[in-house]
Amino acid sequence: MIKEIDDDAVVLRTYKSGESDRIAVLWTRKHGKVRVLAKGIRKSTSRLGGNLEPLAYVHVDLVKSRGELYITRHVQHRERYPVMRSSYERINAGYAVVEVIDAIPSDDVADEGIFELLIRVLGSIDDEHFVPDLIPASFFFKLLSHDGSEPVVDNCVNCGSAGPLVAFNAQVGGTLCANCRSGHAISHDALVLIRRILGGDLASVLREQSAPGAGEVMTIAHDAIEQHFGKRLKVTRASAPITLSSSDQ
Amino acid sequence: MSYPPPLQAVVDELGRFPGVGPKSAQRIAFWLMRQPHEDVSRLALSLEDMKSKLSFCERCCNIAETGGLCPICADDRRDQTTICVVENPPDVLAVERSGAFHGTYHVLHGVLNPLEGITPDRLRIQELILRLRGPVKEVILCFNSNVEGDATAMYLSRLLQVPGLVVSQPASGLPVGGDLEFADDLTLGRAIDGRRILAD
Ligand SMILES: [Zn+2]
Ligand SMILES: [Zn+2]
Repeated sequence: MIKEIDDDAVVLRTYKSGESDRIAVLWTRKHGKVRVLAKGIRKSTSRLGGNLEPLAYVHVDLVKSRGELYITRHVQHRERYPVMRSSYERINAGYAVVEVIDAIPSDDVADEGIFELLIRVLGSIDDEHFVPDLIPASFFFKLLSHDGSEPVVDNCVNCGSAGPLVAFNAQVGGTLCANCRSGHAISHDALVLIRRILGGDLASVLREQSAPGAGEVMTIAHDAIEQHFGKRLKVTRASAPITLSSSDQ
Repeated sequence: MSYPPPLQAVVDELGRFPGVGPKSAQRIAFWLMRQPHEDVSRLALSLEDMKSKLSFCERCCNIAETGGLCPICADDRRDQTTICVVENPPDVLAVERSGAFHGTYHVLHGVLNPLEGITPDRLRIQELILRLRGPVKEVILCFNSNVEGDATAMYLSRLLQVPGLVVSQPASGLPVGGDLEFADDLTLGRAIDGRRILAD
């Protein structure tokens, strides 16, 4: 474990620790996942207060403390994401993203590509021109590609036939024809949407209000990323139906 | 090797406390073993006493005597048309200390945090909605200035878009990222006085 870290980082989550401390889990640009003990952070007099909270993009200067924890010498904001912070859906999209990054099993393994992807996706969530709904799903697909597990969506992953493709199965890694079908049924709209997301048309996808097939794509992306990390994720499941009406009776 | 069942039962119970892991649970259980019998009995009695005498206010969900209203809801000098929504009971005390607020409260018992599985249905939001049938004119969303507090405020400000109802938030000036409980009284008072409107 390195003694000092001077790096960019995104705060993935924080835990209360003792009376007024917090432990923050960071994904750093050059040092992978790092855990930081932020002393006194919950007292309002602490000047670190606003910095080490989930979804913050910061620059940190850390020194090794006990165990696998670091303590902060200096924290500076790089990005405050005001647009994200002023919308419930956008904050939830941000949470869905950091939860997945936190699920990456490789503690201490740095992956600058993932850091760059993370910064880009948070920037998209903070961009008022983009509808936040499909951002987490798009990010999941991009992360799968980054890890070399991009799902096959152009033909049947089992027999190679060009289709028609009627199902998607995260376990076998992509779309399936009618003969080989397993997993989720997939509509043509959803298929087109996934191809656009993976094929370089993401920016225009994210400009569309309620794109046809979006709900399906979210479910498929969620299943695929859970399958990939072998871990159940809470946020997308909890916030998928973002309907205020559910508690509005 | 496992502990004798009566001891293990205590370790298991303590292990369910928030922030207490198995190691701490064992440490506390051993400590309790070493205490005089009457001290431990007093603890057991006080727990029993608390649970039988206290529960949550039928109106605002703050702590109150079982089956009734809390002192604030029961006080008819308090302005029943203004509700200050807070995360937890200690926040009520913090706002009270500021002296800047004369309405009533609503305690959600948490803030939204999907990473911890805290979704809207886990909070006392239904109870708040029910109160809007009464003479409520303004709801002040008074949460800690952090991402969970912001998310909860955004959610509620959307949910509470009811004709004739003003939804407001304390002015910036609340310590960013700090706990309301730690905010000094003057800062908090000023923030409530200078609140800004989110929806009306
Ligand atoms: Zn096939
Ligand atoms: Zn009450």
